[in-house]
Amino acid sequence: MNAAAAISRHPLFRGLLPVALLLALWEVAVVRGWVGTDVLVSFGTLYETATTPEVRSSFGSGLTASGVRLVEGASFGIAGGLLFGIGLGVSRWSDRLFGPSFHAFRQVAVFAWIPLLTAWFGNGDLSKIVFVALASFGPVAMGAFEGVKSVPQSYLEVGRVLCFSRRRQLWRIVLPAAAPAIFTGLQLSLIFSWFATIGAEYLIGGMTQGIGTLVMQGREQMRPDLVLLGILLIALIGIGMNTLLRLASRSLFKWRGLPS
Amino acid sequence: MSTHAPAPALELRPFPLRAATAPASLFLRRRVSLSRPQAPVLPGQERKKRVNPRRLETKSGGRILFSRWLAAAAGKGVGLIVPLVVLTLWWAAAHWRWLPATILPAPAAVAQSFHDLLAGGDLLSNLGISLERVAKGFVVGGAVGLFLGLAMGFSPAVESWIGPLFRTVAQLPAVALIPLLIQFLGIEEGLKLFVMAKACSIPITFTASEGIRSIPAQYIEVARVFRLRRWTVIRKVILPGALPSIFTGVRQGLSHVWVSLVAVEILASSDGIGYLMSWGRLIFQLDVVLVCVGVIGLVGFLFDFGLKQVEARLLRWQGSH
Repeated sequence: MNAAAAISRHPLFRGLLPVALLLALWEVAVVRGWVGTDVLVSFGTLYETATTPEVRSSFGSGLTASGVRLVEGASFGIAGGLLFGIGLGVSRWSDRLFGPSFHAFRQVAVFAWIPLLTAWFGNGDLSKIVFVALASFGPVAMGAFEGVKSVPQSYLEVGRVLCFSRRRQLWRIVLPAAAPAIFTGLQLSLIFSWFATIGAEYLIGGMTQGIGTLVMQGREQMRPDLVLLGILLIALIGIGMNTLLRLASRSLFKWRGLPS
Repeated sequence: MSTHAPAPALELRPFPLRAATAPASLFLRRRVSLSRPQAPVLPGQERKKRVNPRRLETKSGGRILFSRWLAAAAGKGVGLIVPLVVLTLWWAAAHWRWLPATILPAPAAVAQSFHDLLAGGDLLSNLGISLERVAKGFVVGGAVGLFLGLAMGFSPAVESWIGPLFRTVAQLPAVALIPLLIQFLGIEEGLKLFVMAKACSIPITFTASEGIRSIPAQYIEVARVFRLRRWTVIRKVILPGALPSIFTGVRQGLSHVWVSLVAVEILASSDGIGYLMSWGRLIFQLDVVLVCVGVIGLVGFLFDFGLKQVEARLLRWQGSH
């Protein structure tokens, strides 16, 4: 009795029970025929699909293609966003000059650029990469900007007292102080760019490979197992990235001694 | 038996009158003026020539005044430089045919098509449809988000049961799930509503539960000292305390609704502003696309701006806002 009460109070049990119930509901709903097999498939079918050689190879190459696209797009977007955000935060003039345009640009829902991008860069890889770069630019630029802006005045005064040069001030004081905010922006950007890669593959389509394209193809071919498998993979990768990045930020910023 | 040493008499020192008579600020001022900060001389580095900062100030006083005036004027005008440059480049590119008109329509063509779409009613009717969807998604998502957030904020038990599942689902943007959702809900209004409500409810749930949990314990203690009833505590202490945080979530939620609606309308819709845009793309009328991009940006801005106004009105009692 006591042991049962202890288990039921354990956070792991409480966290996992709703998940288990949902999964059980899924299986029961399929087996009992509450939902059609065009909507959901049972775990057995899903496992069978996942172990089929051609599915494995197509999903493998799709994942690789999406990953490459993510890296290409995100590295441009993040590098640009970092430079832009830090520049905006450091110099009041560049903030005045570019700030309003940047904030106006951010108001446009990011998917609204897709029709324009496909017109300019075609349906191929290029427009997807540009879209990923565009999507990852915003959060990291914003994080860097706000991080640099909110460096306490007293820190800057220490630098001035020590007669630091501007470059030293930037590298020794501003950037370390802004690092957590910059990293948060970076984290957001990376997650954004993963889902932007997927979104671009859904919305742009075209003849390129990719995990999102495979999901869309599965939908067109009325293969719910492929759709489910693809979305599960996409979700797992997104959640995995998020978890890794959070762990990284925790261990990176331990030196600050702040609870994060 | 041990003899206790007599306890030392409490020594009463004379109160330091000197410190009391002279105001502290006097000492302080003298201190500061005595020691000017100096950079420590690092090995291999010579001390730079000291410059009297005051003299520097007076010498370039005119410049400082001028730059201050410039800054005041700049605060308003400088932001326009970049858009004007872009517009000029755009106009030049269209005028001298650096790019074909199908790729980059002239600004005048975009303005003309904006006028046509407005006069023909296409723009307003599609925008109206989209806004109606936004309203529905925002209301449903906001209600769900508030309910979940309040439940998770008030009750640690609820938090421990559904918190982990919620945080996992929250990491997946609704747009990524669209193909799966289409299987469940089709491509009609149900899909749009679900996607928007999901996108909207997540930030609100987070900020609402965070806002409630981060209310200082002292506030609750004060309420307990006054023996306020539970409902009064909630209404007068907890909700007002959590309101700023909730509002941040509401603003994020609305912007997420807008972003995800545009995505769904591009992907699966036969009306709405996103559809109008993808239709313009389909017939290669980029002027229509550009008009839609502008309108989508403007609407996003107005949402944010409007909610900020509401927030300022609601949180006026805080003073600092």
